[in-house]
Formats: sequence, C-alpha cells, structure tokens
Amino acid sequence: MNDSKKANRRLFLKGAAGASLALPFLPSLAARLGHAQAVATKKRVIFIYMPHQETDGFAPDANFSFASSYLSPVATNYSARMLVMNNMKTLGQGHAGGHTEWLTGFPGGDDYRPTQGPSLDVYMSNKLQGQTPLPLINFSMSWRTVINNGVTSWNPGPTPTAVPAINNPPEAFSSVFTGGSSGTPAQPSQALVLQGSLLDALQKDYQRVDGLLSAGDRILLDQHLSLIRDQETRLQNAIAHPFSCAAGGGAPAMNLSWQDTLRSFMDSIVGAFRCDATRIATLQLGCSGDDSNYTFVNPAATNYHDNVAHASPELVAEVRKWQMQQIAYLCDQLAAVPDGAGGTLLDSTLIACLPELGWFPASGVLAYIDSTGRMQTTDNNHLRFQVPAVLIGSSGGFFKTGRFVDMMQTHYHDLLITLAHAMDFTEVTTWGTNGTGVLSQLLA
Amino acid sequence: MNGPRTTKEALVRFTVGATLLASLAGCVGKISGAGGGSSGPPGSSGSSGSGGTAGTGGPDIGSIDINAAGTDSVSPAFTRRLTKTEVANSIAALTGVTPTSVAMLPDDALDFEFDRVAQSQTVIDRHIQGYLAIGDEVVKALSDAQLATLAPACTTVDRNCAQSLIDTLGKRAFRGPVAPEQTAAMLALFDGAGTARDGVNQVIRFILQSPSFIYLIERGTPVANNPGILALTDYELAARLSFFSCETVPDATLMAAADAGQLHTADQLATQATRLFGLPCAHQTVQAFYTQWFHLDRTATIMPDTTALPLFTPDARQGMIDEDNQFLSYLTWQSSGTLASIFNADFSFVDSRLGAIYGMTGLGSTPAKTQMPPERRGLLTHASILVTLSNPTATSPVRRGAYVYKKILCGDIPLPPPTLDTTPPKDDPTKTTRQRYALRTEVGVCATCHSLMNPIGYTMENFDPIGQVRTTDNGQPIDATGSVPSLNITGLDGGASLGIALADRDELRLCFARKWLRFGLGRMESQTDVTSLRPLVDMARQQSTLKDMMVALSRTYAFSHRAVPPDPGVSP
Repeated sequence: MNDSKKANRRLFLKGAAGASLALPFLPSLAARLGHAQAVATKKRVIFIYMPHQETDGFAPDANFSFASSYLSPVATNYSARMLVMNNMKTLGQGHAGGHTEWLTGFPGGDDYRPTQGPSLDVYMSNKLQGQTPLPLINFSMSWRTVINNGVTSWNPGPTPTAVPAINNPPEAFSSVFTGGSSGTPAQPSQALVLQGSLLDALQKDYQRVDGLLSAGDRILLDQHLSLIRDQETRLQNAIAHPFSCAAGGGAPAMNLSWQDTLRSFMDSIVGAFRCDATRIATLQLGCSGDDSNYTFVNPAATNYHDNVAHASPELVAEVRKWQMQQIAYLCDQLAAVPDGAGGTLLDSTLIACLPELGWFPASGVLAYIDSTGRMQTTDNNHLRFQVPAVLIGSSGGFFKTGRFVDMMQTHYHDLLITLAHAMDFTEVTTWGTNGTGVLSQLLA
Repeated sequence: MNGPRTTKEALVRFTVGATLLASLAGCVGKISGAGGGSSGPPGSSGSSGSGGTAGTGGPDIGSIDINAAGTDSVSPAFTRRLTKTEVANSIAALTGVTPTSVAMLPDDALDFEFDRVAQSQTVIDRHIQGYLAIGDEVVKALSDAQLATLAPACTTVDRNCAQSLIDTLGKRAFRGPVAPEQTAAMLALFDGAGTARDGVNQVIRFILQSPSFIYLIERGTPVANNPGILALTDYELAARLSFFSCETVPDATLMAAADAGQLHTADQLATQATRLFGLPCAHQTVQAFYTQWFHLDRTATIMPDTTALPLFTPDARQGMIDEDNQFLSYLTWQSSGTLASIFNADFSFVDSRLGAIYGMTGLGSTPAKTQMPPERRGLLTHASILVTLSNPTATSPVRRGAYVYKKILCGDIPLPPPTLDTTPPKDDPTKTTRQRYALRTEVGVCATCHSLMNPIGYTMENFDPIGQVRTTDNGQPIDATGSVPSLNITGLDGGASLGIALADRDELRLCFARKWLRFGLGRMESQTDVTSLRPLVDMARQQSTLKDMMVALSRTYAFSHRAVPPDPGVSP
C-alpha cells in the first residue's frame, strides 16, 4: 500500500498519454479531419451524475461571485464558462425517481429502472454511430454498475436495458486505449481477423443451441447472441476503419485512492476526446443513494447517504466542494489539450453536472408551490421540487454562460432537450414525459 | 434500513418480481412455515399448495407451506449462466490456467442473495468482452508443451491435436459429448487460421465461449404424466452435482459415471454427492453459501466510528471474520453440527483479538474452541453480525430485526414506499436507541411493518454497535426484551434468548432448506418444490448434521428434474 507510488503510476499515464496521443497524420485521417472541420466543430459532452441533493452554498451571489459558494473550485478559473441554474420542476421524486429520470425523463419505480429509454447519452451515442470508433464511454465511482440503482445509461425502448458503466480505472483505460500499441495499423491485425471468424462461429453455435431450447430458456442466450452480433459489427467496423488511440504508457494501477480513481477516469475521458475516440461521456460520481465513504473529506462523512446527505447540510456542501475540485481538475486537463484552430478541448466540451435529487435548504424545511398553486412546506430532502444544474462550456456559443438563472419552475425535461440541441441534435423536440421544447432563456 | 435507497437492490428481472413487490397498502408480512398450523401467522397459508404448476407463471416465493400436500414437481427457471467463481474454477480445472481476466466479468448479481440465481441474471456487453479476454489469456498462457498435457495428440500441434482437444477438453468443458456441428465449426476455425497453433488457439477459444460451456443447458427428457417436467440426463446431472458441490466442471469419476449411465437414481446421486462433499473444494462452496446467506462479506468493509468505538481495530475485524469461518466450518465439517447449533451453540472460536470486545481474558493468539459467556449463543450474537447491522455510532434495531425476519426466517416484508421519509431517528442524548427508534417507527403507517421487525431487533440491544455486551445506552438502562410477533414467540430478553428460541422452529428449518435449494440449484424456490424441501426440513427436525442435509438435496426430485420455464412473451 503505497499511495504516492499509485499516484505516480496514474500521473505517468497522463504524461505518457500526453506525449503519445498526438494523432498520427495519415492521409485518410487527414481527410477525415478536413471533412470534419469543413462541416462543424466537433462538439463533445460529459454528463456528470452528482449523487444526492444540493443545498445552501450552491448558488453564486447576485454579482455572480462564488465567494460563499461550494462551486468555487470550478469558478475560480472557469466562472465565465459556467451557467448555473436552479429551481427546475421535475416529475420523479426520491432516489429512485430522480435517478431514473436523470437523462431519460421517464422516472421509474422501486426497481430503479426508467419506464422508457434511451437516456440522452445513449441517444447521442447511437446517433454518432460510425462517426467515432467508440460509442459512449461511461465510468462510475460506485461498485454498483450492474444493478439498476448504479445505472444511468439506458438503451431505447420501454423497460430499457442497462448500459452499465465501467468502475475500475484499468478497465476504463483499456476501453479507450485499445491494444496499447502505438501507431495506426496499416492492415487490420491478424488478431482481429481471427476474432471475426471466432465470433461468426460462436454466433452460429448460439443460434443452434437457441433452436434446441424453449422460449423461456432462451432468455439469456438470446441476450448473449445479440451482444455477440454487436461485437462483430464493432469488429468489422474496426477492421474497415483502423483506429489508434495509443497510450504509449502503462495502464493505471489497481486500488488507487478515491481521488486518484476519479481523476484516472477523467484522464481516460480526456484521452478519448483527444483522439476523437468518442464525443459522449458519462461520469457517475456515485450511484443512486450513494453510501460511499468520504472520511478523507471529513472524518464524520463515513457514509454519503447516512452520515452526509441525511445528517448534515454542512457535510453535503463539503463533499460537493471536493467534487467540484475534481471537476476543476477535469477542466484543467481539457484546457491543456489543443483542439482546432487555437482552441482547446475545453472549448469544444460541454460539462453538464446534474444532481440525483433536488435543492434542499440547510434549514431542513423546503417551501414549494404544489400542483394546485398553494404554498406548502416539507422536511423531506428527497423531493425534487427545485432541481438545480451546472453547465460548464457554451457548446460552441450555444449557451450564454457566465450567469446564474432562476429557472422559475420550467421543466427539467426541457433542459434535456436543450442539451440535445446544444450538441446539434436538433431533431429532438420532445423528451421524457414533459419535455416540449428548448429553454430559450439559456441561449446566447 | 435507511431510506428508499440502495437496499432496494432486488430487481425485477423475471416474473418473480411481480410477487416480490408485495402490496404497500398493508404490511402483509409472511414467514414460511407450517401454514395452517400453530406457528404460522394468520393468513400465511394463503398461497396455493398445489403442485405441478410449472409453466403457468412465475414461482411464488412468498410463503411456503411445508406441511401442505403436494405432488413431485419443480419450480421453473430459465437456463442459468456460470458464476464468475464457476468460470474461474472450471477454466483452472480444464486448462491449468488461472485467468486474471475473469475479473473483467461483471460481478454476479445478488438480488436473491446468491450469486447463481437464474432469475437475477442478465447478459451485458462486459460479459462478451470478458469471455473474449479470458479466451485470449488462456491461449497465450498455454505453451505447446502444456497443450500436450491437455490432449494426448498434442505432442505435435496439428489438426489431430485440434481434434483431440475437441474430444477431451471439449467434452469435459461441455459436460457431455460435443455436437457434430460444434466439431465441424471448430475444425473449420482451425483450417481458417494462419498457423496450426493459431488454429488450436481458435478451438480453445471456441470451447471456452460456447453456450455449452458458459450456460448450464439442461434439456432432459419428458416425464410421463407430469407435463412440463423434464428428467435430467446423466450428463446433465453430472454437471449439476459438480457445480453444486465444487463450483466447477465434473471430474473424471463423474464423467465416467455419466458415460456408463450410472448417474440418475437417488442412490447414485447421493453416493457421488457424499464423495464430492468429502473433497476440499466443497468446503469452499459451503463457505460461499454461508457467506452469501448470512451476508458475512460485510464484516470486511463495515466502517463503525472508531473514534467513539476504539476497540474496533483492524485486528478485531479480522478476529470476527475468522470466528465466523471457523465456527461454521467446525459445525459443518469437524463435528456433528446441526442447523440449530448455528443459532444456539454455547461455544465459538475466539482469540485475543476479540478478547477486549467480548470481555474475555486468557485467550490465545489464534481462534480456538471456547465456551462462551451466557450472553452469547450462536451466530446472531457474533460480533460480525452485530456490527454489520449497526450504524457507525449506534445500533440499529431495525436492521437487526429485518435481518432476522428476512434472511434467517425467510419472511417477506415490503420496502418503505419511496415517498416516505425514512431518515433514521435523530440523536437524542436523553433517550436510548430503542426509545428513539420506537418514537420514529412505531407510529402511524410505519408501525404496520416495523411492529414485525423491531421487537426482534430489540432483543439484541444488549450488544453495542461493535458487539460488546452493554447494560446502559446513553446513560439509561438497556431494555433488551422482545419477541418474534409473527411466530408468537414472546418473553425474549437478550440476543442469546433469540437464537435459542429460533433454533428449534420449523420456520428456521424451512428457511435453511429454501436457501440451500436456491443456492444448490441456482434458481428461486416455491411451493411447487414442497416435496423436495420437506425431506430437508424433516432431517433438521431430527437433528441431522448440516453436512448430511446438504448432501440430501441430491436425492430430491428437484435435484434431478427441471421445469420448462414460462414463455417470456406471456408474462409482463
């Protein structure tokens, strides 16, 4: 157990990636870049899942000063890029409702599964299919990635299936830096060709066995078969369009500290954006109702759910401030990578920090207007009557940043539509149960 | 239970979900047992006792009436996947390689407590990626010389070697003959690869990723007069026995018995099961069973407030883990331990690391069988259980009570509705934990369910959050009196009295039988399995040993049969 050694290992990755990730300038790639530039600047987005609620200390003051805001770690260098909002209306309530509504707009019930998919990240990823070698990348700080309360990314359709996140840094690293060799292969490797024929043979074997079984017995095998087909499609794509996102260095060590784990995920996202492996990333700072240990922030924060979210608004703010310090790190990394004419990756990346629950005051009593227009109060900090959000980045001048906006109970689902438009998915005109249009008050 | 949150991890993945989510309108807590008899709560015999309902819908995992008549039948489940442990063990047994990339596979879901329950399984992309990586790792790790140890013809790496691997490695991996189509596919892969070694690698990759390896495919043969029920073949039973006892592919003895058609009568199965449960690998399997049933893995990660409770040291934590393992291992393997003894034993395995917490002196440096003071009887008074069911600075009678009610007695209780504020009670230096919880949970709508759980948890209030015996809480005397309302057990006082009272209850016996069947067969159990559960309950009544009861599952109808699962298109 040597923390400094682990940190160095992770830093080594970052340094190595920085040194060797420069795109090899092959004619085909140059042509693709040229094409891309002629059409539009590439837009990128990172959705960050913020577990639990926001509280006092979230908003900047009337002068957009963050002196007493726990968003200050990001604001210190990037306040001009920030668009802070509060007071959006939602449909979903509680951990399950907020969690499932997060990017889908279709809050689910006790099983923590939205009633309908896709989530916005998956929607975008599907739309970009073929334009980048990798689909969505999604990383999570929670060990819960297979069960629904750890899943934020959902496939299309009713009672959607999960797109589980990766929750360990080496795997996140290798999901981006495939192969680890440097340079773009001129020919598809023999290994890929062999894997192609293997997948083909396996497909036939699954089909054959499927044919021997009853419909009920085929449930898992059918899922397996369709995933093998997906894998083969990706493989054929990789063979047709050789892709290199070589890391040059080693993968991060196992068992990093909490902060180094999170930063390693951030490094992998920046690396993926740098070589345009994907443009869509989701980063979960925890699962729904996250119960992680934050004693490194404050010794009392032994359990995020029990001893922070339920116990102390001050601790909620402290943990949020630490999270914002990490997001500032992410901004720093994006800002360090040149992209396009004189800009950086930070210029082309929109970071959307969206909470699981709503804003809940430190006083412990939230006043709100109920559906009949009457003023009510509640001491339940799981309600999402006033949902805030933080955007970092203007998405190519789409948003008017550098300000705080009281959303006056406009609907959160409209924010999801607005985010889709920011990323140029202007075909999205409805989203979730209540989304009907773009929030014009946010636009430049 | 701290809120509408992560404890709600039972996902609805199959039709059982519908019966799991009991109505929240009223708390119909149900504990399985002798329904209609004296010990069941009112209404507990409500579920149908009819057998032979396979194929008509999802199993009812609510209450089971062990005394109800029933014909031989089995509850349906779809084909299940091997667990991560089973994949790792099997590949090691087959190839001698221990692939580290098994870690890439997603963790097995524990929705229904055990890592192998069909109804909790799904397949996601990381499985596919993981299996591909495992295949690559195994072929890379196998030298040409090692290939020769896997198949006789592989002294030369050529097409004969490929055929030989199919016949030996393939047959054992698939737990039966390789289908002609599979042989043809593998030889085609061999022929299409660049070199002979590449070709052999392709064959091995195929074997390790075929559904015949990764899934426990059981087709069986129809049973006369029992529609929808299939009797398993000898090969399928060899696989069941082997994964049931050792979480791996069958050994040579099992395969030979299956080859000879000597593996389908109850006696044949029990003879093999007895042999297998004498092997070291079975000890690991049974330890996994206890760990998952009793949720013992949490002892390694629980974080009490060590400022307030400084006796909880890393050494003490390890002492707790060792105590559980040695106690359960001793009862199962080194003595004639019974199910009752898990809950009422007057001894345990402790050492000086636990001395301070247990208030015992003169203990050695390694766990040894030790007579325990009268406050401690059985597992429920082990520090591991008491600490993992506590909050960092205070006990949680709700967690402790719910644990006994649900995990030990197989009771159903719905989760609080998501709109309910389930914040734990606030600190109050003038009140005991019990008083605070009573004020918070025994009023209004909360009381409906909590009245079933809290009185159980209160009996353990004579143990503090790290399992020390205590007589006061916040300066007030401890009140550890309580009851198990749904079983009409009253007059309890202290955790030891709870374990002793539960030890001779049919509800506990049935719960063990249910968990062991669920674990052993990798599927949910229901009333339909009653004729297979009853022999285990009868054995527990007669104080049979744990080991004999475990082996006895191999004799049951459920062990040698399966039901065709319902068509997923029919259920929601």
